[in-house]
Amino acid sequence: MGNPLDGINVLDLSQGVAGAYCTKLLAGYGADVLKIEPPNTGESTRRLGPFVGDLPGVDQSLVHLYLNTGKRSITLDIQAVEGQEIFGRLAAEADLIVESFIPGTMTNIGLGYEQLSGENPGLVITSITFFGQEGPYSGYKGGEIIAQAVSGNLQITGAPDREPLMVGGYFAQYVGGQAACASTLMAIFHSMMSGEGQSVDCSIAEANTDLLDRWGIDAVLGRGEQPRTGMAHHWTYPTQLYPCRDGYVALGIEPAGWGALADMVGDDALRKPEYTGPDRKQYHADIDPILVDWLKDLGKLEVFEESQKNRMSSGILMTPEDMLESPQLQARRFFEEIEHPSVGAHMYPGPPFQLSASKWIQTRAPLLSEHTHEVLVGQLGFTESEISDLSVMGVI
Amino acid sequence: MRDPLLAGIRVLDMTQIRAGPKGSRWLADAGAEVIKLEARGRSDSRGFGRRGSGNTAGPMESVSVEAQREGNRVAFEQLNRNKLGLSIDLSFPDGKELFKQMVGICDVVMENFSYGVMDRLGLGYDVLRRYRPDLVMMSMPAYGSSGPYRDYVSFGWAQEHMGGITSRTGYQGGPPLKTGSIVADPVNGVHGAIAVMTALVGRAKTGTGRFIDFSQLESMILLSGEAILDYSVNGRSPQRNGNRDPFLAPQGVYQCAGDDNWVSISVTNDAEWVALCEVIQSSELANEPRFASSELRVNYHDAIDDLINEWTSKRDKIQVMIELQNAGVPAGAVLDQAEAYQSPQAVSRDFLVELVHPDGILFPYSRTPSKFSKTPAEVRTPGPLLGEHNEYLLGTLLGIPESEQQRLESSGVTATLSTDLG
Repeated sequence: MGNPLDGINVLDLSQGVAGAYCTKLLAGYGADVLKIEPPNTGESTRRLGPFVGDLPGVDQSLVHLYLNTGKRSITLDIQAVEGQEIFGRLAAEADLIVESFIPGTMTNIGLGYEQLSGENPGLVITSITFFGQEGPYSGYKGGEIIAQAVSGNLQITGAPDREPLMVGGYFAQYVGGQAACASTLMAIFHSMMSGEGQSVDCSIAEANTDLLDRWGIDAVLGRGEQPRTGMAHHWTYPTQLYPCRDGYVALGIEPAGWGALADMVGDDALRKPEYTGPDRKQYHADIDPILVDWLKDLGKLEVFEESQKNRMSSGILMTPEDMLESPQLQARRFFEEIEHPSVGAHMYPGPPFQLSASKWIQTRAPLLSEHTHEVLVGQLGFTESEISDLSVMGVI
Repeated sequence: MRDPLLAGIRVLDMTQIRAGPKGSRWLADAGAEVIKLEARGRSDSRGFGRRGSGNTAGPMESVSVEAQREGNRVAFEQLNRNKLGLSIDLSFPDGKELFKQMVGICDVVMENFSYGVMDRLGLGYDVLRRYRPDLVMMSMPAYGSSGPYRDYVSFGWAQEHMGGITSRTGYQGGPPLKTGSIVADPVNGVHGAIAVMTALVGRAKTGTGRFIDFSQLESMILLSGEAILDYSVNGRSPQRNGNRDPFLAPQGVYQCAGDDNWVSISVTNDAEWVALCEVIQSSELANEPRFASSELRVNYHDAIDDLINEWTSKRDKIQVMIELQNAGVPAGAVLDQAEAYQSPQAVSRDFLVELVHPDGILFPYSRTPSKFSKTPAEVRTPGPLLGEHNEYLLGTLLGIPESEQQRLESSGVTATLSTDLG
């Protein structure tokens, strides 16, 4: 049995983390994803750090190496007429186009949904931008911190006495990418069932506002804004990170309850009746020093595993090193080794979920333009001399 | 009138609290018939019980009972609108039989019990596929359905630390901090919706169902791939950089007029730098050779921030955003939550919608964060009451006679909200 997305042809014009993550998930379970990149520079994740040995270069970005597994790459200047014509031929056979240009760009160069769907009515076009295709902010420039700011997430992250803090890495753009992926699969499913494609307008900002769930709607209802609480959980205690000998433990006591933690610590000062009840958080100034002192000589894994034996929901702050050495992730063979000419063989995270009778595909990220010849000659029937003309003109 | 995106798809949703319901909400918004399965005494909280959707770690302490109820109701509505309510108590043999009949007319079963619960109930994937050969079933325990941690318990607030995202979240030189909205659950929910859709697309082609082994830990790790490579390739452990970018400057949040008001600015190239200097009319910045390129500016970030703050601190955050964006500088007001749902952008895109509840209350919801040109995902109905749609699901769909439905309810196999106020 093949993979669930086998045979789905995707043209990926998108630039940046969100689009690349969306199509990585599609490629992983079988879609044929062809990255269409600007000649010379390539797609923008190739310019995002960190880089191999901290040296930038089109095949050196670790963001690119990770996010573009399972895909092929051609270069094509779709601003040029010849490029548009080649793209149009590919689009006629495509099930999905993913793009992230400034709204209106695709239509302006004759490659918008209305223009392409005439010949290919089942086509889905997914547009991923920071603010969406329409509205007063749709032409604004985005960015990781910008998306976290306008979505309402930045204001509630960080310490109470300091400025708002962004979640690290490319978090908001991953969230935008996963929302785009879910939406895209729904549109593809609908197209398979009805024969009718459509355009899908994905806003990274909206996808991140949707993370707020109850807190956001509470605020809309005028019940107050969530304050920044630093490390502490809004309501429950002691469900938060505490330093230990070799890192951080995320202490959790449910479902066993407070008594199980008091037993583990073995300090009778924790057995006060008022600590067992729902008002425990108000005594945190008395309890915290005991927990900190208890944990300072303990290793995170021993606290984690001992907690779980006692039916307490503790976790740890996992570093990449912890992940690569995790007995759980090793037992599930989560990490997979992939070899790339820029870096050699390294362990990459595996699938976001395991599907029975399927194989998560994670071939290395393509070199810039690695498959241009294969696609233009093999698939579209260009001759060698036509290829070299296109190359000289800078179209490919 | 077109069919909705997921016309004809029926989902039996046993998930509770936040991650699972978030995933099935995507399916429900897209027009799948999502059946929220609960039982008397084990319902997902609507404000009556102790647990709350979105309260991911047990009882809400230090919050009044009234506020808990109201907050839980908000969470329940946001996550469970568009779903139907079915109650079956699976501890009864009759309940198990009803459940199997229901599976027979469903395309998808989703559950987030601890590992092994479904098997112990005699309702594992291998049993259920006998009633529905092309079934798609997703199990989403915290650590997946295999491995030494498969029985471990966890909640969303711990998974954001396990998954690695918070190791990069903190002020420079400071400890790791939690995310404001405790993001692991919604992130895992959307990956869950992707998993179900991937399997449904595959089934549409080949007719074959699949089992989805969903590990919430692994799902979260997908958002940190480049940090894992940075460690294995460059030997670098995750850094906490506050709001700064290691490669681009200036980037940060800057104080604006008023209390706790801020704007974010992120200059990604030299042209944007020049534009920023022009807007804030700082010849000191514009003519300073030490600040001429991003590589140089990274080294003088504090001094640059002081000059930017001087300009922003007297101004309104929205006006600063508009002025900078009009000049081509990436800037975003740090919106509070109510503002984020009600910004001119959100309003123009109808992001917030309202429904009138049967009790006459107007309730706000945010729509699915994507707009579909032909088959919109819409908020159509409020969250269901416990067993609200028993009669439709058991009577109309399964053809169980009314007398038998009454017997099931009086023997406690099924229930409605009025019997579950405890």
